[in-house]
Amino acid sequence: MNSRILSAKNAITFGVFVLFWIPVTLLSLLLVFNTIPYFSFNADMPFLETREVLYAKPVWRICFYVHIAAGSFCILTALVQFSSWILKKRKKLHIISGKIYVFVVLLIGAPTGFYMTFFAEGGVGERICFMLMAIFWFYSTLRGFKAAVYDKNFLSHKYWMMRSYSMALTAVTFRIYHIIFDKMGMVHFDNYSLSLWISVFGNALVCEAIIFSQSKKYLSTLKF
Amino acid sequence: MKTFLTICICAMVTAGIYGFADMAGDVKNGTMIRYDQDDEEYVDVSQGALTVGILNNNATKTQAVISETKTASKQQPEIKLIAKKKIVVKDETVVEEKEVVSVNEEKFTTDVIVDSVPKEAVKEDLEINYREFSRGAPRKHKSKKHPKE
Repeated sequence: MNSRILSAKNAITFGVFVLFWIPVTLLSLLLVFNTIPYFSFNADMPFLETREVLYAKPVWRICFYVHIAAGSFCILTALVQFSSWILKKRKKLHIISGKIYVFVVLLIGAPTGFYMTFFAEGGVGERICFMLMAIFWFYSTLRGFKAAVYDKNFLSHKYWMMRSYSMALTAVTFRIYHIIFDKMGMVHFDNYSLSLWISVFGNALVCEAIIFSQSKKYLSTLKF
Repeated sequence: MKTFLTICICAMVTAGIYGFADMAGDVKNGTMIRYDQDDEEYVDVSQGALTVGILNNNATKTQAVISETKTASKQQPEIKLIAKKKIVVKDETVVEEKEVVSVNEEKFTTDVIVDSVPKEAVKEDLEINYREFSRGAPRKHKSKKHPKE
């Protein structure tokens, strides 16, 4: 291959790394950092103040705390999963971290999130959006895990896990959109609704676009 | 591994069924959370939230009582005419007694206790000729004599 093409490719890879992974990592860590005060189990937190009725329900309360703890684990473990260096040099770390991610998502994060979608903020549309997100998060993680453990199809595993991570990352992108629309002066309800839909479907579309651009066998990974 | 995946699927299905049942119960009981938008902030305005607020917060309790009183007063017949109004002072506490006639012409008497009136104000009120209340706006008595109770 031509050396100019190679250097251009390296530059693009580095640009993607800088523009995507550094902000994503920092914002993920910020999100995790912001959930720490909630573990004081104090109902005076901003998110909980508007949910007094739900907080009075023991099931919802337990689901909430379990969900934010699981979400923090998911976001942190997922950060190391997409590193090609770790995958090549520290494969054991990738496997252990991946198992934690799968365990947390399938058994804790997605079920508790799915229960909470029935009481989510917004109208029926927003609740349906949350439900779709929870179901797709669960399904894509399950398919990714199954592809690696049972089918040994690591291409399919990679793409299903990318889809799973795109759903996990909605927690970060939602907040980014929410802040941007808020600065634009959008009313809170419209802002919330729009941010939610864009973060869920936007993430899914971007993920599919990346998979499509990477794989010539794109359709073969989509077998349901 | 198959057992683990089965447990996960069961957990997800259970969460869905329980969530739906819980939501249906809330809707049936009228305690479903409703996110309403105020000008600046979200306020949980559901009946359940009000109940929790009453239990937890005295301020909310007072507010709820006031709003209930307002609602009740709207349902009461409209007061048409004040027939008689007098002020009685008991131990520096002003008790305002009103006799009113409602639309349906049922006579009833209400006592309004004003307990936060400063002493100066009470003294000033003592100089009012209370007999003039029935004729319109109260006027201050010109003479220096205190009115007889």
